[in-house]
Amino acid sequence: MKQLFNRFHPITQLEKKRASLVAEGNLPDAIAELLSEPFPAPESKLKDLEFFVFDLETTGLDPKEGRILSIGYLLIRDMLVDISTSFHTYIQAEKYVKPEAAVINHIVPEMLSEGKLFDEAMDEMFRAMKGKVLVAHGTVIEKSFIDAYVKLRYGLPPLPLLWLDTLVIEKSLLRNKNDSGTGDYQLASVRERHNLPPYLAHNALADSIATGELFLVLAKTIYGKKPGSLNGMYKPLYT
Amino acid sequence: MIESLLPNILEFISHIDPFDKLPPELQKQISGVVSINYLSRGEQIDFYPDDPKRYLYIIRTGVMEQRKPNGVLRGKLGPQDLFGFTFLNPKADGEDRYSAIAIESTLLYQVPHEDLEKLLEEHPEYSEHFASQAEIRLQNAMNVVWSDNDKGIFVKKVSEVATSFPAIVTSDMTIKEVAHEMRNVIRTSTAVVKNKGRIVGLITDRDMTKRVIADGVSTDQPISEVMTKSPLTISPNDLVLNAAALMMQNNIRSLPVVSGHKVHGLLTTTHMVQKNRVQALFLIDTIKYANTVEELVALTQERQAIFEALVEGKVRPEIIGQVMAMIYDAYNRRLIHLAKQEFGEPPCKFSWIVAGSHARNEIHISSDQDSALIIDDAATDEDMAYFKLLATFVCNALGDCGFVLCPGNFMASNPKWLQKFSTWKKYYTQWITTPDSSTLLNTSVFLETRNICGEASFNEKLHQHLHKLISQNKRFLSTLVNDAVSVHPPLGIFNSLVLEKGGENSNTLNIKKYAITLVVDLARIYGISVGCTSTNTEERFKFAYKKGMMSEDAFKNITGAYRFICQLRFTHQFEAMKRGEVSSNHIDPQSFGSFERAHLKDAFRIIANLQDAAKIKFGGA
Repeated sequence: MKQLFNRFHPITQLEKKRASLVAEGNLPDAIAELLSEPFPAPESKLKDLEFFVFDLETTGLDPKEGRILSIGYLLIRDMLVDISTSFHTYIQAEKYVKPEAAVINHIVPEMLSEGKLFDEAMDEMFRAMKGKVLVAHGTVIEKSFIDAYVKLRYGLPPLPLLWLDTLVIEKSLLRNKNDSGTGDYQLASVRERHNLPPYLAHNALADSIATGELFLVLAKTIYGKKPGSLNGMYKPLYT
Repeated sequence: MIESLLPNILEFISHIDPFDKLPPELQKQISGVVSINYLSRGEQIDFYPDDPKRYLYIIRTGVMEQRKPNGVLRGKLGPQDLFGFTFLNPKADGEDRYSAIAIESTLLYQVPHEDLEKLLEEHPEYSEHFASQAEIRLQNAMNVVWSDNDKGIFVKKVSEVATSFPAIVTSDMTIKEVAHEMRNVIRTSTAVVKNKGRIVGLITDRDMTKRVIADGVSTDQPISEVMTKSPLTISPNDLVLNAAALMMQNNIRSLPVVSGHKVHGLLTTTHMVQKNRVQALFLIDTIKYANTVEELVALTQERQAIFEALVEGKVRPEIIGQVMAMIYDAYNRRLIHLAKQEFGEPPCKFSWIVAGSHARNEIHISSDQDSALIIDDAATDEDMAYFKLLATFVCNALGDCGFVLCPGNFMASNPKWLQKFSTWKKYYTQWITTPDSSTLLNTSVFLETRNICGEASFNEKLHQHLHKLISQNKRFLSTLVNDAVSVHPPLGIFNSLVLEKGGENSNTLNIKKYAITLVVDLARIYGISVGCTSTNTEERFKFAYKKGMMSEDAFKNITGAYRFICQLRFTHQFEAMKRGEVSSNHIDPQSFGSFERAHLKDAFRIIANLQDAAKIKFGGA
């Protein structure tokens, strides 16, 4: 039964896509490396997985017009948010920073001039994602900017990546409580609902940490003291 | 630097003890290695001595309980509290094992032991803040509270203050020769007189005026005719406080600084006044010359100012207690003097004794009165009536001066405690030979007494009587122990509440009842068990340690804990005074920061451990 179930599981479908894309070859180095490892099985224990929690700060919501200004990420291993794995970089793109965006993101052109080249930063991020489950709050933005980047830069279709979205998980938990699902799902508001301390949203890394903590909380909300599995966290995304 | 991007973690860590003692650079580095954990309600962290992955845990939000393997509550922790020190260096036998259970969902910042150890190896000057033993952490906490540069005059050594030198003469020299030596050779106010290398006397320029010129003694006489024989001296290692006490009690202005028969220098009141502000010396002088109760009452403000200066000057609690006791003594003696002026000279010999904390020289600003009178057995009913008048006058006047009347009425004005010598002897015999719960309170108050006016031998004889009784009645000690350990210290401070041993809460901490008295009781027990004659709490423990009755660890632990809670009480009283409130022993836990909470928990645990040890050692008979 499990075998049969797994065959139709979205992660299994994703894995098929990954395998065939890799088999085709001709992938740029960083992306080939990113996709070199098979995805974990749906029943994998959360404790045994590595989660890549990240946040992109952008100049807008639409990748056609906007640009990525900074990238922050860190890992969750053994269900601990591990600050020692933290990474953060600005991306060289002075001319894209509008004063309005700077106010929101606390990013000023001077910061960006010291940042990495865009391609270099993206390559590094792809390599760091290898073998990890991606976690972000509201993955729509991250996903669309990554998709736009690989399309523009390499002419590739959206990459088969294993995403978990703390925003969607939160929504599904609230929906179970007969919530209309139209409430406030901003990271700070969701954290407040779960009694997490108010964190100042200073930068992409601080937001990644805030998201990582929220991820731990959601896992415990779903599983309590029991050891959770990947499937349980993934389910809200396709149901 | 990635750490500069971690404002939320850094901000939190840098404000809690002991991380707030670290330089910003280290705080940043620690923030950079934190692991964040989230526990749902009921989840548990277990510690095993051989666990390779160990952390120091900081509660960011939530509530946790520590429980011993047998399920007994060890502590309750809230935001900003730390745990896991013990497991950074666990005992091999796992004796100190416990579990930590989340009783609300809890967000933890975990600092890996490995990283912490590496950082502290590179910066050993901070390592004691993170010591696995509570005692070292406490000691270190005290050092933070008391900066060395800031210690008052009283804690300095005599050798640091005494800079001048007396003339040294021999006993066969004439008065004229000695005067010449003092005036023209050494230029000093004082000469130490030696005979065959031994110090036999002392002469000052004031003595020359009073005893030679005024009395018309020939200056050709040997100095031994007019010198003060067997003079008081002080050792260079003694505290200035002790020197000041000697000078005040004996009304002398200079003390030769001496070890054996070697003269190191001369300490004079001028020294102390020049070098430092010795307000207490002046206050005591003023008290001595006050002629009415009103004049004494007017000095209350000054007494408070000295207390504030001592607390603010971070003087050690023990010294503060001694200085405040000296001032108290001065009031008491002066009031007895004024009472004599009022009611006439006493009809017979008597001894005015003080008891309890006053006898132990452990006085604070709101100490109450504990006193009694021992009257000569030959006294008549009329004589006793005189003393009743005297005592009532003194106790009431002391009350007017801010020394609270004893709520338990342990005062000389109470006929029960105004008794003839033989009655006192009977009291002690009854208390020691047939101790019971109704007499134990009396016993604990009057086990420590000190004569401050009158016939000192009365009190000494009673002491001898008492010690003989105690050594003959072993059961007394175990009764004392069983009573002392019947009150438990709290487990800690949690959420602005005091967490009691059974898990209940109360909203004030009675620091006297639940901490200080417990330590004083233990000191008494240990002191008595080894025949210590000092009544001072720290000295009793020290004596017990030297006699092998307690381990060095236990001695250091309890001394550190005692100092910490005394310091806390003084600071609390000081703060209350500054706000213009009446200070009491009840402290609102809301006033505690993470520093006080963490170290109070350590101190309480140390007290509880020593209670357990005392129970095993002396109890149960």
